[in-house]
Amino acid sequence: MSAKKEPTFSEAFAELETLTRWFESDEFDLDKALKNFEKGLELAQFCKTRLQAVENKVIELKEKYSGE
Amino acid sequence: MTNVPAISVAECISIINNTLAYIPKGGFSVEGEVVEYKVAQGKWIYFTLKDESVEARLPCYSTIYKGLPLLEDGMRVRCTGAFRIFDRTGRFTFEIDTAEPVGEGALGRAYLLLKEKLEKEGLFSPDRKRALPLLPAKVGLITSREAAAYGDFLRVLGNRIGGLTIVHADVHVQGQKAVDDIEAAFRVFNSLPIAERPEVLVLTRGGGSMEELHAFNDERVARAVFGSVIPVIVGVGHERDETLVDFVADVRASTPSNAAERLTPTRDDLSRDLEHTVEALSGRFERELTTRRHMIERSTLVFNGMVTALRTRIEQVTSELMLTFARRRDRTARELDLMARLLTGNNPTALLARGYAIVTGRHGVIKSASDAAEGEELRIQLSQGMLKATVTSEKNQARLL
Repeated sequence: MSAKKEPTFSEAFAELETLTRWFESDEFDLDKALKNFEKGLELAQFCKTRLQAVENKVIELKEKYSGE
Repeated sequence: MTNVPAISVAECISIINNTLAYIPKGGFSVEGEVVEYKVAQGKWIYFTLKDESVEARLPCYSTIYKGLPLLEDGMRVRCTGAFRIFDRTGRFTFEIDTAEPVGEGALGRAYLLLKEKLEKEGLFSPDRKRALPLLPAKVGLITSREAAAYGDFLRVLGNRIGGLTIVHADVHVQGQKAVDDIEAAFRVFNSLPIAERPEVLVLTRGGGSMEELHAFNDERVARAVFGSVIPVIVGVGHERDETLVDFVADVRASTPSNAAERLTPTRDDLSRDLEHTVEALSGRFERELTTRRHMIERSTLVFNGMVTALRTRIEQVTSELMLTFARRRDRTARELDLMARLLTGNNPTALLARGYAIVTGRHGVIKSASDAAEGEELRIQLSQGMLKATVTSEKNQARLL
């Protein structure tokens, strides 16, 4: 996750939901739970930070596409 | 008459066709009503254009490759193309390049015909509709910067959420260039490297007449939306307007503002979802921890009980042992005492102290007078000191006691 490009909000949120489902599943292992819990909080923090962005950025498509 | 040159029929047709070629192609369009429309072998299109009031007919020809809209008899169209006489039939023909239905009636019919065709092909299939990402990071916006839709979309989006990158393709949304522009924008967005590709495309414009909205009812645009690898939201016109691209879109929005609403949840909605998710996550975790803590507490309790029981047992055993030991010790002590007393009673030294003496002769202790002979030297052990004596006589007597 750190080496690759930053996950999108959707990806992070989807992963968080997967973790939550894991927590609701039967295979609950304390060691794994601790790891998943930490990971979950990290993802939630990422999502929260992402939601704090205020402005949307508009850029113009540079490619030539107009059918003259 | 005889002094004019004679030419062949083919030469004659060639001259006429060369002359007809002077008529500028696309310099005007011919408007008329379509009659006798037919498609031969799925390739060649024949029909006749006629005027309504005056009796005038123009035979028309085209191929399906020209991509004319679907026509039918009675439809009013404007056509451009070239004029030519076919060598083999001698038939004067208007070779059509473009045909555009005119008037709400004709446009409506053309629209319905195309809609039927595309629907049959599966362009509107609900199975094809793709889900949008929860919150895209990058969005491709296809509209005109001059259109009210551009401002409406961005304003509504900005009120909902921030942090998005909007890549805008400034296209004509009406007029002749609109179809080419929009088609090209789809092509460009879809051919971007995956890392740069928007996750959603939004095709939008405000309301208008059917003629103004023609690009959104165009077959090429419909196919561009259909062929897009990137999911597409279409928001065209007002609430009630319907265009063909609406049906092809993965998500159909009613207006440009609604397109922004369909694109992302609001910041507040997302925050709430996020909170609920985290609550669900920590809720289970805390419940599990509590369960485990209770288990540990119970185990500790059981263990402590076991230890107490064990300790009690050890104390019990120890005290039993101590008791047994004490009893045995006492008994031994008593026995020792007894023996000591017995021993003390038989102690020769004690006897000597009481006045007894031990007499030893040559052969040991003298117990009987006969043990010693006359003149024998004896040693008499007293309590205090020892005497030497000589036997002067012997008196044999039975026993002392």
